[in-house]
Amino acid sequence: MTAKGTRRVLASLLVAAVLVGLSMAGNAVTVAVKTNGGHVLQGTLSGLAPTLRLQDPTPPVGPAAQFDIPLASIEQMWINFPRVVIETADHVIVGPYSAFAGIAQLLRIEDAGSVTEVPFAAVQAIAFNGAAFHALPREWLGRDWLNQRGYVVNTTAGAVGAAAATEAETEPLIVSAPLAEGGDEVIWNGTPPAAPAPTASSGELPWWVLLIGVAVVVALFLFLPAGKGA
Amino acid sequence: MRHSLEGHNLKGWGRGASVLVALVAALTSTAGVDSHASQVRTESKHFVITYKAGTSFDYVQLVQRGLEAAYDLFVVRSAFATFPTTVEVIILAEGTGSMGAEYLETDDAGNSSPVIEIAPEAFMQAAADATSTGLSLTEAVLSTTAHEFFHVLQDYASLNGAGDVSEAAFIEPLATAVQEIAAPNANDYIDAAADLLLAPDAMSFLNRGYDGGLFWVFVLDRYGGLNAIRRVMKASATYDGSQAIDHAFAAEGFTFLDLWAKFAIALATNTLPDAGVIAKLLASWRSELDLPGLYLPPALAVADWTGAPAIMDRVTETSPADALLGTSDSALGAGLLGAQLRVAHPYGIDIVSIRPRSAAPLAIAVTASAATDFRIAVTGRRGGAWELLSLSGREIDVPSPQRYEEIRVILTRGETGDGSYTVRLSTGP
Repeated sequence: MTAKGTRRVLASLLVAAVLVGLSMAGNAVTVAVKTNGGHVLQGTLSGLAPTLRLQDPTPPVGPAAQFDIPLASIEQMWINFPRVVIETADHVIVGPYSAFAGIAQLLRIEDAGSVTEVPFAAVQAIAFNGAAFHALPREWLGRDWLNQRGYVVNTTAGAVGAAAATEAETEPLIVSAPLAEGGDEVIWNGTPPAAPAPTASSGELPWWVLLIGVAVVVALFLFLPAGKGA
Repeated sequence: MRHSLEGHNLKGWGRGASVLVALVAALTSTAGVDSHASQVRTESKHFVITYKAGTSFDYVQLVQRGLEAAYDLFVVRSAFATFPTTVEVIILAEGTGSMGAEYLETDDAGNSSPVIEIAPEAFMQAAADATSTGLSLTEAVLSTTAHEFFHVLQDYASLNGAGDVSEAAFIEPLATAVQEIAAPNANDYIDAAADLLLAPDAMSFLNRGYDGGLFWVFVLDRYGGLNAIRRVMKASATYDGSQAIDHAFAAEGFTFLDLWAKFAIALATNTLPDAGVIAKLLASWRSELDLPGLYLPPALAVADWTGAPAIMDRVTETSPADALLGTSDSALGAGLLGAQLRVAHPYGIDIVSIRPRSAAPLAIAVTASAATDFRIAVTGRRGGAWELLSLSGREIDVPSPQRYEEIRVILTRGETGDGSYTVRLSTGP
């Protein structure tokens, strides 16, 4: 390549960089930023392009997929090393940081004339447009969508949270009565059972004495008739 | 005659047996055979729960609900295989020192059946109250029942060639991690991980027990959920230790050391799952020791960057693990002061801390024997947040060190070599 050609390429790259920079800088939004150290900054954020793009180079089937996420649609972003999770009203987009385009390495938060620069890698969460921070949905179950691979899940299609699992309906309780009392099975339907009467432990003969007595009675009962019949 | 006699005798035996049963039943109910008289059975679809009469029915229901929820989570929705029969569960009458237990009973024919033991309510409540992260009785039961039922699944997998319960590295750590899915707000896996948080080079990760759950929650959260855990269990039937994890994540191209190094960085930058809960625990430790500068993991060596070359090759800090965990175990850091810097154990983690006192560009060089498979990252703390300055490499330049309140070198290693290292500070380009 000639010197002239090199200059032209460099000039083009410079113009492109300026345009990207201007587009990010000119796309300020009101946010609350929580750092991974737990600090919260509020103000006007610049450093994100009007549309973020997630490129999934290796989808399970078909060519590389890409997802465009308008900044205006984002409710919350989580930077959850080593992945980024973006929540919109109806989607959750998950992918590694390196797969996203439109995110500057250094974010700027301006509040009342004071500017704070925070590296994107030091951010834990960004809540957009006055929204409050809320817990990252942990919908691991059967979906694996908090995986490092980038893909999209429609949250309106059925969010089955881990918390919901603990509240799964269970079979009605079938409780049998205390074993020694015998009797049929009792379905309590949630009604606490009455505690069985406490067993007596004093003022009575030892159980084994009574057992021997019973054995003697049974033996007599069995052997006496047989003797008469012979 | 024979017919008559036979008939008579049959009647006689029948009558006698009835009397005997009735009398024995009467005796046992009135003469105090407590082991039977006070037991109650509760059956649900997949569990038979036995408990002492007088046990709070709310507690019994809570246990039953936790068990069925665990069954639903692991078996119905996550396709783990389990025993075809109902599982016997005993709510113990007396505390035994643990919140739950699981074991196999084998009958004369060699058939194995699982038994789960759950601590009594008072003990469970006391255990919940004793956690540093705060735990309700309900969360404790949901978490414990999931943990013990997961052991049932591990046993079944092992009996059927899809797991290996003889390999301790994958038993308690995995069962502790899945608690987080069954009871996401319990966070008791963090309480169990104090050793790992405070002394991550106290032992090889593969020798850890309940505290190893911290790593596996990270894996669950970011690398494939329960499906990844099942793959690890299955691989452990064929491979041992780290090789099992290597094989389980072969399709993703990760070795265990790859995953572990990511975990180490997440730990050091406060970006693990439940980072907020861990931060609160750290704050309580800071307060207890009156240490405003404590971060996790604690640094072993600290030096100022003054612009002049410096060598960091010795332990300069006393580990807080000793004071916080109430142990004088040298492996937790006690007595290491002045010792050669060394990641002593495979998959241990060391932190070396540099406090910038000069604006001169800083070059950090880590020298170590080539025999040790090190993974090294560098972070900087600025404005209360951790920035990743380098994810890999043994030579790292920090052009503007004064931007940071602290720079940390995070070192971890694989299984080869002795782990010795030296950190050299010099003026950078």
